[in-house]
Amino acid sequence: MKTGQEYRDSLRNRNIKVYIKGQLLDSRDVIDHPYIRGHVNSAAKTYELAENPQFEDLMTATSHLTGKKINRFTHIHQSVDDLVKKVKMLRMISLNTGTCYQRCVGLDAVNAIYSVTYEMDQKLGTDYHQRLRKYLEYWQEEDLMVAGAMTDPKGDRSLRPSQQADPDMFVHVVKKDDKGIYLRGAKMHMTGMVNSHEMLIMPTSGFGEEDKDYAVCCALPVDAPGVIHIFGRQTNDDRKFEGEIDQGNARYGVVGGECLTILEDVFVPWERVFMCGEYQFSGMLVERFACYHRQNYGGCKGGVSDIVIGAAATVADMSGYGKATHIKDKLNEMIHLAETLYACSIACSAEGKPTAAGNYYVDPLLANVGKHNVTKLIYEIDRLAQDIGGGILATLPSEADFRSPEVGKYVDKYMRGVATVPTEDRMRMIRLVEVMTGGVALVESMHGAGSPQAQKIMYSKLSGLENKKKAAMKIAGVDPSKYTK
Amino acid sequence: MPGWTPASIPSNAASDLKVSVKFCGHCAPRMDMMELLGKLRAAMPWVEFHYYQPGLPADALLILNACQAECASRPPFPGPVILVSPGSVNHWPVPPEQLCGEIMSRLSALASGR
Repeated sequence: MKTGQEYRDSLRNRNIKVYIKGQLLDSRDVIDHPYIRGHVNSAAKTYELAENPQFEDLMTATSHLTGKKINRFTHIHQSVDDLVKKVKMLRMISLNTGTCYQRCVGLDAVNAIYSVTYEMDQKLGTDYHQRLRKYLEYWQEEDLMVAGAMTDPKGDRSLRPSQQADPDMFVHVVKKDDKGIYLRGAKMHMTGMVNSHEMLIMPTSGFGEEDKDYAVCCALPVDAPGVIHIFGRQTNDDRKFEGEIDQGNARYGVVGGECLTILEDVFVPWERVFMCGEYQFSGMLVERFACYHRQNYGGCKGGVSDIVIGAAATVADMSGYGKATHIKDKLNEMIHLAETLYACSIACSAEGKPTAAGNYYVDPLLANVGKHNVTKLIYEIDRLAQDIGGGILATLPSEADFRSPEVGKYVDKYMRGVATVPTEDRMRMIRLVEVMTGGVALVESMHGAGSPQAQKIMYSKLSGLENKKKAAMKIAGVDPSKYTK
Repeated sequence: MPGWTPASIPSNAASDLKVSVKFCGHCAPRMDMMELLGKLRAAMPWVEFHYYQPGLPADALLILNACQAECASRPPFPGPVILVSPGSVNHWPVPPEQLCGEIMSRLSALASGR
């Protein structure tokens, strides 16, 4: 396994092309850019915690391929216990970072691809699964950070890929030869892409035969020739060029550092291709990835919510109203909501079962319910945190004012709450509540792992509504057979 | 420290009781088990506490769970196991403030019985 430092060092050896605000960064210094370094620190934590005996029970696993001890972020789930431990690991890392550490996407992608390639090979006679196992051995041995890349720009959402005015609105295969395939298009919203070693490309949805060139799944280095990354902006990101206080979470940042990745006729050798034209399996891959990824959110957002709850409670204490009954009531409500999120992630893991390939898969209905809760309850948790924090969340003077020789004494004097608490400590806690309860942090809860509608679509498919109707009719004394088509 | 008193060194201990320590992973740290281990180390300097590794010889395995779920993995171990959570030792209720003393008593008994 890599150490945190080895992870950082390995990123400097890439020839990656990353643009920020129109400027191409020096590939050796990408991880030092103020917009990016917090996300690197957060991802590095997934390596550092695996070295620590206090956390290794969650952070490590035994490879089913080699029998070696590996980082859990490179593991294929072999049991219900593995699924549960994944969720607990995510909550624990969030407790240590207060933000996203990005590495779950690749983990979820490879677990989804693992079972789908197996089933594809059985039905179509392809050999994708063996290729994936070989790639996975390399991944585990090198302890790679692999970004998952699923969402395409999509252009006109009412049109299928082949109907688009611009065929590149979805990633597609533009050429094949005896050595491999060539990809063109773009992927969006990738968390941790610019501080990863590799990426896994997956189709963005289920496709028909007319769109089989878009049914492609493969692995490639993030610095492969023809790959360009354009880093996304975040709320208040220019605060990262200033001091620590105004960033709120200066060490680890906010959410994962997302980007737009352009693929300009990028070559991928056949041994790294895990789907190429098998459109019948593209929808299955999307669904499995989505369910694994939705499993996570009660773990990671549960842990992030722990920090929001702790921050709000501390602000109340530092301001002198921590013992007020209505504050305690709001904190209890936040705890209830956070544990509700967590409960769904544990439940969908506990109800997991093996796939034909042997790796374990979550209960898809409960996983979707859990993520759907996140699209609502995080907003309520953050609303309560802002309620507790007060208007100062929006009006607190800057760190520069606090440090100012002229007005610093006034900020220090008038921003103080409880007399024994240093003003700087109170400012730091207020800023933490501010950055964790607004901007990209909320949008990520809404749309990460799929927008709410994507979860609702799964309900009608998975919940057995017709059986609920039959059960209700029986209770009411109505013969269901009269209404069964 | 309330709830326990420092352990005396058993006459036959000869400072060589070896205890493997395993943690749960601390996803719900109701209690800081690293802190508890620190207290044990300070109170029982004659005991060698080391982190669990498969195959590493030890006289006992101490599993420290940070919450009541007690989800730490139980590796196969050919000797006495002390399973701790914030409210119990080997499933017997023990108030958190008395955990250190209870573990010390059990380790002292092990040392005396060797």
